Amino acid sequence: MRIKLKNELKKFVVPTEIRNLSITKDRILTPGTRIPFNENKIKLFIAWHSNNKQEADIDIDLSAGLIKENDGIFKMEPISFYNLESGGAQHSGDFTSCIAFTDNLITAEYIDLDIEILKEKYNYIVITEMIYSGAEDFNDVKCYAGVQSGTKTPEETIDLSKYLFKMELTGEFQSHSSIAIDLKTKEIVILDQYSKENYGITINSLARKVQSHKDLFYNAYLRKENMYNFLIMYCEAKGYEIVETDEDLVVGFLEDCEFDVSKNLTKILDILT
Amino acid sequence: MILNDKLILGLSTDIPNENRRVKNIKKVITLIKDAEKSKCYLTKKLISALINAGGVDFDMYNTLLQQKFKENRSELTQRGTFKNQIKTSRYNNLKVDNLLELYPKNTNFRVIDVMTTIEYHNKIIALINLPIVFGNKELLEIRSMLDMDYWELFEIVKYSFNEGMKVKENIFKIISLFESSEQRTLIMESNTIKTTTDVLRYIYFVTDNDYTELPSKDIMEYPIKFKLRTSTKKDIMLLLSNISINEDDVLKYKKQWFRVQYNLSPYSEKFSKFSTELFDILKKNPKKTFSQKSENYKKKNKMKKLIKHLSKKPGELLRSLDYIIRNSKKKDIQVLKEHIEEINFSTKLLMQVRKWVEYRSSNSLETRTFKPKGKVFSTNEKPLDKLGSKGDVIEIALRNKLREYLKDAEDIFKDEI
Repeated sequence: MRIKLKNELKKFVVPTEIRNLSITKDRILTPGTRIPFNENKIKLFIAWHSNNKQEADIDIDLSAGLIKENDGIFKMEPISFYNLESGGAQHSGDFTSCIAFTDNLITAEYIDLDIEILKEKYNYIVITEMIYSGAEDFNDVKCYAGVQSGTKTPEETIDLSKYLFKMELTGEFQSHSSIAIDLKTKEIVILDQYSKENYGITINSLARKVQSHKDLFYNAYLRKENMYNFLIMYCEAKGYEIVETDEDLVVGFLEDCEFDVSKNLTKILDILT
Repeated sequence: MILNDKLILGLSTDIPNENRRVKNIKKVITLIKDAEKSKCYLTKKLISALINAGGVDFDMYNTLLQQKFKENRSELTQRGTFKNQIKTSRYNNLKVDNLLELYPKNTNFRVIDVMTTIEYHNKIIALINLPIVFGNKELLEIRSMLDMDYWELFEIVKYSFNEGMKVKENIFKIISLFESSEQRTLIMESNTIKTTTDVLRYIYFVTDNDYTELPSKDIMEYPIKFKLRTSTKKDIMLLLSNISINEDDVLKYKKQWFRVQYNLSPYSEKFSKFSTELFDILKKNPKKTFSQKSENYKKKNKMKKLIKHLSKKPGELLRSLDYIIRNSKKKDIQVLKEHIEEINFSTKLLMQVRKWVEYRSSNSLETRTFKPKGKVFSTNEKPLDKLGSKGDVIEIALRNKLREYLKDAEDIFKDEI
């Protein structure tokens, strides 16, 4: 059998446990996995509505840390409701309640990023989301975090149907870090780390999060097994041939890598356990 | 279903989709037919499922039975009192035809599944093991992973174990949900009891003591009396003979085991068939635990002995591989390689460790962080050197081992062709 593997799989961390996975619509991603994008202007967002889709006094805050790493020393500039603008990043401002959810228009806090300007000064951006008031945990509210393409808009809602990447937040937690953006390589890095902090967002708490998640956004796929290597080993063991071109191809496996890894997740987990 | 009444009533019953409702009704009917053919567990569960299906609570079910009783007084009284009738009919003697008559028409049937007691028990445990952190319905919508119907069951199980979803502490809580006649079968046949600590919990459970938190130190101050029946004693001895005994686990609860030994008298003639390995360990009374021994070898830098010692626990060996390779000489590496070839590892851990060794063979480790209970801080120690050629040798051994496992694994490309 001849098999062709996509190069993107090199940045996809092999899923080992269901518990570790981050589930977005029809995609399953392991923390540390990287998704490339082409846009120069993107929008990081946290969007929410109440469980019954009506307006409610639920306050969720979005913050981001702009990170410059120099000889192992971190420098971080926060972007949050108390520091709305810095270089190529602009926060939409604090929204302390949400409107009724209709026609995919959803209350959102967002941070507009100009990658070209930011990459001169920083390496990474890590985003965090925290429930400030109105809900006990992410189970109490419908909440989405993600990335959209596009330029600055003055509205306090976004269209939830358009996104480059989106994940739903659930669980008995008040605090979450969904993604990091690698500014140099233009990649979304999946973090998806929950924590039980409930003291709101301060520079200290943001820095603590950046510190504890740095192993993930700093090339986790180099230290953790990636799908590409794993499948190569698998094919070698099974005696399958790996080809670089489409000629004589029998199986074009993982053509759209993210989706197909999701589709074959059970099989992969079965092999490993 | 074997969960107690309250739990059964907790199931949701409204299915908005008309087609699905019809499908479920058909499913129930086929199940009823099957149940009549095979006189096994089906009837019992089916009744519960049916009660649940129409949103009929147990009181209503009793009222319905009562109505039925009034209508067919003569028929029912022949078999005994009404109270007994409910008791027996609920589980054993109720005919399926009667049940359908009892049942209000035009209701939404919903059956979660039909399984044997052990399958059901294992399913509950599997549900508890599901990611609570995510608790994400979208995960379950991936049909290949788990049937959506189980989601509701998961919600119930989650609700009833809201104190904490840890399986080990809750095994007997789960088992106590089953009928007392089934409990023994479950314990002896379901493979839930895997370690000596589980057996100790079982002893606490059968003697009506609190099995969730085992006291480790002050037991002698507040001695627990384990009043054990002979049949239970035999069960305990059988369980202890069937599991592999870990010395550390035994020593952790040494005082309890002495107390058990006192009541159990394992060396008596009637238990001559069974293994007394655990009590032999108590007799020897070794002073050092497994990890104390390995720490000792590390201190004295006796790598060969450390490798041999850690080989008893393959996971421990893999986890301390970086340390061993760093501190080993070339001769020790050969010993390590030979051990790796012989031991059986978990595929997942093997894959993760292989990647790590591959990375460390060519990279030094600059940032060393420790995570005591979630807090992170760096040490001021020097960066760790790369593992170099020693790492390469082990990486190849691990890769070959992994290849062996992958060769026997299921074909993931099967559906793609």
